[in-house]
Amino acid sequence: MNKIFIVVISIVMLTGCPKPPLQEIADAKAALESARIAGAQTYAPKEYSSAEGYVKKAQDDSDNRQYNDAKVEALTGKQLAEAAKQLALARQTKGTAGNEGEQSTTTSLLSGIGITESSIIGRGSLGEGVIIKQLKRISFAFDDYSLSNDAQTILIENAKWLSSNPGIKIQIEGHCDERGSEEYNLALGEKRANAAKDYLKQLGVASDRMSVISYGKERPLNPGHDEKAWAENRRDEFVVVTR
Amino acid sequence: MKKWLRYFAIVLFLGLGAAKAGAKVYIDIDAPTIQRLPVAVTMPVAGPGSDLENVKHLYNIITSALDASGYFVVLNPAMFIEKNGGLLLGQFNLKDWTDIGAEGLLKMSYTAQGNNAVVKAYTYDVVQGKSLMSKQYTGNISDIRYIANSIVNDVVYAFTGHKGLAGSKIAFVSKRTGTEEIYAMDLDGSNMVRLTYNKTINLTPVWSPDGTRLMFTSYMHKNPDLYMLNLQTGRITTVSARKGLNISPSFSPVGTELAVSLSFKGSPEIYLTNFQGRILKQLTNTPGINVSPSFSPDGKNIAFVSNRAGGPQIYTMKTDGSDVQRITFKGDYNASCDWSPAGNRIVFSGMSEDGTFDIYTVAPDGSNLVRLTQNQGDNTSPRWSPDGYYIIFVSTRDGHQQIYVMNANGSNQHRIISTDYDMSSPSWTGRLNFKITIK
Repeated sequence: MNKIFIVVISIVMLTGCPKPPLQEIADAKAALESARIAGAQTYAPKEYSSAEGYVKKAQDDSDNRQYNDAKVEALTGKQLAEAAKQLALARQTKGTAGNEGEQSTTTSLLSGIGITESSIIGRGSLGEGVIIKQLKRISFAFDDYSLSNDAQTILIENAKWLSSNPGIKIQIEGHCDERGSEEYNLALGEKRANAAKDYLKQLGVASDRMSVISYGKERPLNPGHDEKAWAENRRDEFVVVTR
Repeated sequence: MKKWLRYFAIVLFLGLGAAKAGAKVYIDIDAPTIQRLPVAVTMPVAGPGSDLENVKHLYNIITSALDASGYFVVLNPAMFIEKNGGLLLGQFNLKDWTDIGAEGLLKMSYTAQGNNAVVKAYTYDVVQGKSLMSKQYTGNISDIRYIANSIVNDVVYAFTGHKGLAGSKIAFVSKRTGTEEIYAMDLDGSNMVRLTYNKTINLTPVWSPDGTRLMFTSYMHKNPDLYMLNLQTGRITTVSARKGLNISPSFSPVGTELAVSLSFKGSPEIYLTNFQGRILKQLTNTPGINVSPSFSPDGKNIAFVSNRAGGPQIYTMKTDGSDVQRITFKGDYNASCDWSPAGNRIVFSGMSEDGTFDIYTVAPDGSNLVRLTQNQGDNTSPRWSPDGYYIIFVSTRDGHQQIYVMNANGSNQHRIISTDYDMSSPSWTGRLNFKITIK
């Protein structure tokens, strides 16, 4: 911790400029969101709330033109958020907190097919199920639910993995960027999830192993408001579920 | 879920006499541009034993609501000439008011009687030296806001011939606790009450026409399902929990039907159901997206959003699904339609050339497109006020998503309340002066 602080302070001294630390705050918020998606609120609540406190304080100080303080707080908040995420993921795999029943089922299911704790990179959008490295997410163009060549390539890989792990069931989550209405985006997200499901079915994955759900624009991966964030948020997630 | 609420009407009216309906209209709120009427409001004369803080509170609520109505310029008291004028015509000098440019005048008295406040309000046309309204209001002191809102609505009525909307309720969605929950507040941002507690995702609240029920989509059972919250009993019932989407409800203004979008057959289509969610008729049948139905006020037509021609556009159809007409052609993305209470306009949010979203209105036949917002961030989720004279919407013009109101012609755009959290999906009910309390 001390080391982090010294590094942080030296960065501030080197730059020392009176500009609002927009990038640092954005990074910290992204790290916090990533920790949240990983279930840190449930699995590392103390660490998460500490990180959240720093990020909020950074924003407040930045709003009040205390840019140097804000920058230190943003960097600290980011570090703490990353730590909270790691801890949450580790605890989830061990099933040490939260819904014991489901956690241990997930864990034994995963260990039964050789998925290690390091494979888990996130949680389903309502905190259930896990996102693993082996099943990659796919991306979409704006207001579009057709599968690009890249998306099809990824789906072929995902189908291969699912074929060699027949005990796995997945829920496909369709997501959108923040532009447009809540309602249209809910429909668009479902179209995206169904597009992946239909393609995986063509590739031989049994449809009773796959369910779909749309989260519209409600669960962005990147909380930003620019092209980069939007592109990241237009996606399907493949969540391993236990029922 | 049962730790819940009730509503009750608070204000007791003891009429001393009201303006005759159909008298002179001072402000024509149907005109394309509204000339604000200069009005003076004096600090209420406090009777013995009155808490001056309450008197000041009453005065502040009234003046800010009169200003927010968009119909009045409330004159600065620093300009006032009158020192000790009485409340009744003949007890004060009209010239004291016309000299400072006032055309309207509101005078009040305030008396505390036990737990009750008794407020007498007098509204004058000072140019013609005429009394427009005199009325007595009695209510519990803790509910002084309801008295203030009633006075404002009667003053608006005296000058426009239309009852004001002070004290009406806005439902909306906010993530202030980390997850999307539904809240309600008064039009001035006061009396904020949280309505859902399930810590999942709750979206798009819509009031029933009589304001006693709120329908919304929730993920409380891990799927976007439709629920109805009864505000009289506090009970939440399931309307539709079919496989896939159960979203975007619209109440028929005349009947007992809902129009909703359901995707249990694979693709989101619009259906007519009863209040229990039983399907009466499937209205659309295209392979793409059909969402956001909105009934016309006579219940005979429905506006909706479909991507059957590529991107989302606004369409109309008869309530039996026939006679589908596309009504928007400008831009690649037009959504969130709401049919006006007068029936002559449809409001929606469309993507402008620069990629931001703005509010537009259009006639139901697609003619006479009017843009209401410009160069002010993203402007989305427009909904009509119950009287059709205002539009409520979400804008990012001040940094993040907040709720704004404007007159139906786009004038007088202002934020309802400033919060540090995002607010979205506003819906406005006409039920006035009721209160939601969490037990």
